[in-house]
Amino acid sequence: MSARSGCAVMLQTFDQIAAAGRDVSIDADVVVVGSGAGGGAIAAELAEGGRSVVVVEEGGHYTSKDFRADAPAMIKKLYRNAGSAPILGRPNIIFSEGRCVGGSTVINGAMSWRTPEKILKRWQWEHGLRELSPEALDPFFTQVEERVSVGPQDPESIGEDARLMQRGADKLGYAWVPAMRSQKHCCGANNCAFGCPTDAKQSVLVTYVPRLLAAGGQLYSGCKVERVLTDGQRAVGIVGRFRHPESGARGPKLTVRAKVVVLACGAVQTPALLLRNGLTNSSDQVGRNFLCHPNSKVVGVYEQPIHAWKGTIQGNQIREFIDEGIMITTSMVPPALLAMSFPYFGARSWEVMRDYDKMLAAGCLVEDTGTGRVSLDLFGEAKMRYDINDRDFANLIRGVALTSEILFASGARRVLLPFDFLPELGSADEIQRLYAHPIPKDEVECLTVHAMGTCRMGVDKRSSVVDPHGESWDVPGLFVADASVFPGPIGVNPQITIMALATRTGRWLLDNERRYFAE
Amino acid sequence: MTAAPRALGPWSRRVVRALAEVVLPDGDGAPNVPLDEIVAFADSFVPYLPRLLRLLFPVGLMMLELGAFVLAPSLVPFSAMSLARRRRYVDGWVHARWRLRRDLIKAVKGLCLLGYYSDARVRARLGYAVEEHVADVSAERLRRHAANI
Repeated sequence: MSARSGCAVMLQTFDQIAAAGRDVSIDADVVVVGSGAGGGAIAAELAEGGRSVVVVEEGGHYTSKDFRADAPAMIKKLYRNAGSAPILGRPNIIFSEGRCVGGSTVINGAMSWRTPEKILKRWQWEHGLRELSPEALDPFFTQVEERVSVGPQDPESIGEDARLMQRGADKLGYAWVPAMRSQKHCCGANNCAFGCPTDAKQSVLVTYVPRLLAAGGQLYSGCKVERVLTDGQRAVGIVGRFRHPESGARGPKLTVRAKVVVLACGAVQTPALLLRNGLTNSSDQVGRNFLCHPNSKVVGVYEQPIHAWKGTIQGNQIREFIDEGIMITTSMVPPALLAMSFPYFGARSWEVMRDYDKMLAAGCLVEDTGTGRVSLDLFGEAKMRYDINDRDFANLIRGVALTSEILFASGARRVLLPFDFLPELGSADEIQRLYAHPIPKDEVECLTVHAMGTCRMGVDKRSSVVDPHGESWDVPGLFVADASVFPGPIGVNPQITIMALATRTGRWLLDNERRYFAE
Repeated sequence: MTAAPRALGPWSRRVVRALAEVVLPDGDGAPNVPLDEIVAFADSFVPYLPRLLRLLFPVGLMMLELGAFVLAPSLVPFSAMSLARRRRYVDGWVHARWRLRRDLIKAVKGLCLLGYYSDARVRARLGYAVEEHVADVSAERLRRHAANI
């Protein structure tokens, strides 16, 4: 029973299970590990299709009543490792992902774009995934968009930061598009990164999870899956351990025996779980092909207060350079997170930060052509390694230059850069300084929230981990339904692609009942 | 809910405190946040770091503390240096050729600044009245769209 709503749904938290003090053992048709974009979508699809579904989520269960604008407190609750996991390489990249019921959809900007056609074509021609055509995927995109209410923002929710970016892009003749987000009358609280306090954001927490529970599915939160069970051939379930999502205190054991196991822990934790279990790696591709859309922040400082922290997190995206693999948008964050990203400290930090209300933070994202790797560290935990290649680095610098240009065109008096050696530009004329000398890669501040590609889908079992339906080549009955399966980067926010592919995998399972669910 | 465990021993807390005194904004209208609060904030954050970083965190602090004997060079450890000398020493780490030193100081500096700029007094001084904003727009949303949400 849900402790929060009191209604007759099966959502059990660590505290409830720990209070009972007994190991839990259950049977189901399907067990889904992870409750984010992929896990939530496939779990609801299967439950509504009549299958008994158990979802196991490592993070805690929080709702809009818990979501506040207290960044540190929410980061600890909602983010894996409080958002501090480093991707080691040149440069180091900070990676943030959700770890809570609803996964990263609870803490992302809910940007909702279909996979660009050029990407699907690349997947078709370079990876042989002929079934992933725009036409074939259209019904899945349509369903997902309806489930999570994808649409443009109400005008009153657009903030001054988006208006300024639009003005800058218009002055320079750069194409931009209004943001499409999964939201219902978003009011521009701009608390997306710490959980939507109004439930306007249509995260998995308020869309697919209620659908799953209404269809009779079960969800256990605060439980870390340790083993994937096999009978020597097929996947037959999982074993997990309840752990307090914040303190890590150990609780009872959970065993779920199921006909199908779906891993949807994200492109870092899914390969880590597979590597820990020594599963489905005959191709030696698990954890390889790690993609992360490296991005950097550029901050414009204006003459007057612009209150960029009011209004929706992204009101538009600059798409002029999308074919070059560069996407630019606003991404204002609270002062604490902004101050951390600057090289300043002491008195100089305050000199800069006291203009916070005059600042506009924008980000440029690069569609990566290089790859990294997820492997295991000494403790068996996921370790990420990614060295940005020269081409992508040049693109990132170009992205920073273009973002600076747009900010100056919109009226910014100065621009703060993500470089230790060149932290500030005073005018658009100074942008050329970015190209004057080679920039050391490890002097650039980079971050990402997009991880992809580590259990990639393909038609050749020698070069991929799962088949075109997401099923492991090596372990029948074991599926992957998150961004791990992407054969390459997509250059835009991945939420809708993850949901559509997961829904497609769910539909495949329902359409092949006799193969997967026969007694 | 079970309280999160504390991670730093007294020795590590002393080093964080000494570093926070260098890193935290001062003067020119910067609100004063007690150093003990910043140390407690850092202490509460460390348990959430990835396990390897959690274990290496005190090691890094030890490098900062004892490195003063060689790198400053100083007859006393970092935490016992005068504030002016600590500032120069930290500046040396920020611009060090050895990347590990730069990464370490960046991480601890970032943690201290996260604590400082999250403080309610600092947020108020910056004009970041986010709670009021959220309350206002939430009420407006209900007024406009109650029938459709």
